[in-house]
Amino acid sequence: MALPKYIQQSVFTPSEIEFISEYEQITILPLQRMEAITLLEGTYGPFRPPLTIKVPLWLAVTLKKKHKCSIQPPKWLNIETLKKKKQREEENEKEFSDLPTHYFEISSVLLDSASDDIPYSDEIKILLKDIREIRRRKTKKGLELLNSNYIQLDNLGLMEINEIRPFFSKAFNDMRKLEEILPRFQDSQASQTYSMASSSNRY
Amino acid sequence: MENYNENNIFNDEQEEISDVHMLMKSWINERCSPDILPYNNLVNDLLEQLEVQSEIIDSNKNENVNAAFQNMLCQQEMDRVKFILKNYLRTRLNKIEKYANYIYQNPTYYERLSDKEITYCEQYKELVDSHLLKSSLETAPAFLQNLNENNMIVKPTLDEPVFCRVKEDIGEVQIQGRQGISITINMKKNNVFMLRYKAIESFLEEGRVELL
Repeated sequence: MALPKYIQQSVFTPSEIEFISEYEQITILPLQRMEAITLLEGTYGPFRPPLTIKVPLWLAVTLKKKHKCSIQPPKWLNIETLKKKKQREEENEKEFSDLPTHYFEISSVLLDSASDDIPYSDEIKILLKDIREIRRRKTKKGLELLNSNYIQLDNLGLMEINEIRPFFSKAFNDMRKLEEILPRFQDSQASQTYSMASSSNRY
Repeated sequence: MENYNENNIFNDEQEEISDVHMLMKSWINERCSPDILPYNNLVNDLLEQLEVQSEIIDSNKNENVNAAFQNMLCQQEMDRVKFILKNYLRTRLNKIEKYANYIYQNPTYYERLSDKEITYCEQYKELVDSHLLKSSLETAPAFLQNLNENNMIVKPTLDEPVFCRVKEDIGEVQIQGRQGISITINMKKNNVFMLRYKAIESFLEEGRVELL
């Protein structure tokens, strides 16, 4: 087989989603001078402290591990913003707050490898966990809305989509298949009620 | 409302999208769509770029510590790009194997495949057909031996649901829902939908939506 079975079923693995999110740009503060680096995806640098520079997340994490930079957390990754988001998340039952698509992956990568660059990282971890729980509850509730036409899921992150994908897709497909047979079923039902109505008219 | 999408690589506002990012988008779309999408010609360009890059690394090998560190980063990036390339091609091969018979009979699908993929598809079909024939079909009655009959061919199901994000304001759109009833939905930038692949197929081709 060209693709392993576990990939065919759930579309993306969590590590693949993390891989995708590692191409997001992030601001770093280099700690030492380094010449510009030419990569296939573009040229980054030259690195001249104390000038900050934007690089892809994977590069930032590698540099961080070698103690060559410190990472500036994205502007949504701080206590005040996340508290607001959590509040909005709790107040509005029908919508998801506007966190970036990769908020979950980016925050977990950063908290993992650069927690010393993020002030109050422990509190942030708890807040993120709360937000994730609330959002997860909402997606579960959203299952009620599932139909075989469409559903709108604005602001849902890639990781969250991937989580619900197997179940939602299966349910969608099953409903679709049932409805393909349904017209015949409905027709026969309609004619039944009609005959009943006409018979009651007679009385 | 605050907008955080400026950090988003999937954003079109970025002036220049590199080949690597383009290929990654193709890879994601390919993984998410039930149908085979047109082949991305960037594969060959990127293979060439990878070769050039590895030559550069080789030529810098014996220089100072700084160069060694930069080489390591280049190497790391090359591995990442190779992963995307491999996964992209394997995803396509997986679909080609699945729909080999269907592709074989539909010349329009040939346009979506690269030359090598076409060869692969034809050879794969021949192999499977001859294997089925030898292992069992030969002993079956003649009217059951035909592998190219309509109900023997696996087709991509375009009614499968996909998740997609709208990349630009499209406005009111008629989509086909259950039992062919058309429904109007309003597609605005950054909306996320789960709907039938068929409904957004043309938008995907025009690059106005992306799959998730």
